[in-house]
Amino acid sequence: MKIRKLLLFLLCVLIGLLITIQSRVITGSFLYVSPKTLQDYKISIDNQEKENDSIRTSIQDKEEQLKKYMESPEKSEEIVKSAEKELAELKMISGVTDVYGDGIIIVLDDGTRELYPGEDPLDIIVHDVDILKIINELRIAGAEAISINGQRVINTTEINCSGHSIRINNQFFAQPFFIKAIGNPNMMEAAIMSPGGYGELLLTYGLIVNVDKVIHLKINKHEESIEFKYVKAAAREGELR
Amino acid sequence: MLIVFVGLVVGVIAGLFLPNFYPAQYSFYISIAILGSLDSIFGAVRANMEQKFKTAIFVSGFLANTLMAAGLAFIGDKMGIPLYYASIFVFGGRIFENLATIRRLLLKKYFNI
Repeated sequence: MKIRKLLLFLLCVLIGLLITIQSRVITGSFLYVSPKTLQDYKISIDNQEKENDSIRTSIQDKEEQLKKYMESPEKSEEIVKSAEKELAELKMISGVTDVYGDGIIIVLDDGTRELYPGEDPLDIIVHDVDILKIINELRIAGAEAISINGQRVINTTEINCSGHSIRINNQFFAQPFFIKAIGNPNMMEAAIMSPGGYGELLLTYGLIVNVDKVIHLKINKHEESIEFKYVKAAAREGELR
Repeated sequence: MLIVFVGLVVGVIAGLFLPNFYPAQYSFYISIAILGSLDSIFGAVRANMEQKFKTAIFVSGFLANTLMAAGLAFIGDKMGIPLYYASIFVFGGRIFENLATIRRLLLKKYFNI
């Protein structure tokens, strides 16, 4: 009789304890997490870890580079050489140097067909949006350098409608537009002119779109001045003040 | 009957003041285990009213139910099958079954229906 009461008491204590703690632990609703969700999370975590790894290796590389610089002050020639190499790379990235390579030239011009009765003539002229979309398609297809009517497209390049002309790098251009792009010519041509491509869409509207593949295309450097009013370089990479 | 309430009150008070002694990721298994133990309790109350209550059966059933419910949920999670449904259906169904019997017994006892 006594054992029975004791056991009952203990089990009741256990239940009260579990229910209370459980209600304390669970805040909000408890969701059943399916294996697919877990898998998705696993994939994203794995990707994050890979990214961390690559960042770690790049940190190591930089540290080794720094060590090299610190250890050999007398080998200034080597430092100058590597700095020059880096400068050339950076110039290539920023677009302040002329570049060569295989690529394509796209000619964009206003349509010459007759308008349907009541049709808006804006339908068959080249808009800034058209050029923007084509440039985006080119970049998707792997274009490495782009210029429009000789204006190099860099990170600050604006493409803006200004009446019947278009403003690019603070210069005004009217039709026709010559877009030069260096990259894989076949890929870029396919990206523009294949069914569903933006160039093909413009053709169906009645604009003139012409793509030529060119070997050894030259793209001019960016020549307008860039003034930074708000941006300041951080003292060190990744440092914020 | 008094000892049950005293035990519950002690358990609730202890639960309010004790720190968590299991990680939050196991709380799902604990809730299934609570369901299993509730089934045992209702079974015990019913057996008590039918005067068939045996401590050994109650205690062993309580532990077995609890462990099996939590274990099934755990194994199901590992295999990717929601096996805890089995516990929910069986224990949930039995709780209501026992409740119905208890209700009938009470009605018979006090109102002779």
